[in-house]
Amino acid sequence: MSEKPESDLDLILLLAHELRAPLGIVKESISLVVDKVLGKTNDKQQLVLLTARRNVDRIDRIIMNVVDIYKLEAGRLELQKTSFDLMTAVRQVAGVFQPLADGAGLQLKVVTSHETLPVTADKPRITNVLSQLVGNAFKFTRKGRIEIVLKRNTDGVECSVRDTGIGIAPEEMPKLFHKFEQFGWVPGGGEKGMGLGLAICKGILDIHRGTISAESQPGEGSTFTFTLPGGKS
Amino acid sequence: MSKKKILIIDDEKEMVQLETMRLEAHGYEVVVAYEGEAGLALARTEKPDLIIVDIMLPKMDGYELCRRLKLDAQCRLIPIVLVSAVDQKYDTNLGKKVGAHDYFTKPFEPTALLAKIKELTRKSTT
Repeated sequence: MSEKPESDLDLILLLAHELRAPLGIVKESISLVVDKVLGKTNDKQQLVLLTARRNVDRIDRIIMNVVDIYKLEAGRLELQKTSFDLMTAVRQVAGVFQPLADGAGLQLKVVTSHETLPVTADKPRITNVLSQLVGNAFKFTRKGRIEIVLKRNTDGVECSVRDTGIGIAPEEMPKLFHKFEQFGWVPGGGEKGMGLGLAICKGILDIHRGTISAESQPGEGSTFTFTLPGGKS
Repeated sequence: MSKKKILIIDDEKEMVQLETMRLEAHGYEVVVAYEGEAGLALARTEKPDLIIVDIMLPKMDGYELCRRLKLDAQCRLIPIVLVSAVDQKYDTNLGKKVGAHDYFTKPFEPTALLAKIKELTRKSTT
């Protein structure tokens, strides 16, 4: 990739490519030590290196989010659709978040009456949407529970992430899926980010011909619901 | 049991150095080439158990190198794993056509790559 960039997207893609190569080298350098390939390390060294690696991942996510949002806007994000079971994907995401729930004293539940929910979609992208919604729920919920509710509707499948968190102010609702908007961030509430997560979720669902929407009661909680078309059993 | 030998053909020298350390720590012998022609020559002389080829190489790209390895009487049975950067689209059809056994997107999870190497080098001996 050495051509002169002709658009903002080309520039962003070039920059992302150039940044991610050395970032990958930094990450693997850290990992070699963390994984004790080069010898023993003590607990403090592990802690420092894991912090470094987590922040390398964070830079990488920022780069990829910027790439995604500009690709979506330019209509250049290509999906790799396969047939998979949404239920399995949801259970995997729930499994990843379970330790966080245990640590925070929150209940995390998958609620459904179906055994499987086959869909045809881009699995890594839909998994990212799920992780984003569940991650947001954790960010803004201090007590109570987070539920992932799955059902079939007339056009396809519907997945909701419901929390008992701080909720969203009514005036913030219309901007919820706009890029570079941030909501309800509290100090110590984790990564502040660039306000791209929900905008990317919406973009990903749009190109799947799905939908995403939110409902909220300030002080009581929020529910984010996305739908995907098709998915007959 | 003798060590399995891995040939890495990739022009990202620093990354190759790190990959080599990891593979050596897992008991593999590693030989390296930084471009296609040298890689082809090494494949013939070193007879590795597996070859890892970056698709974006100077002069000859990874697909072409893979195709030539598969046409070579001495190398055609050696399993090949192609690797691509995450922002390059890996051409699955082309990869299959030129005879690649698998592909990985960089940056790869070391454990996933090691598992794949183990699987493919085991097959190559049976």
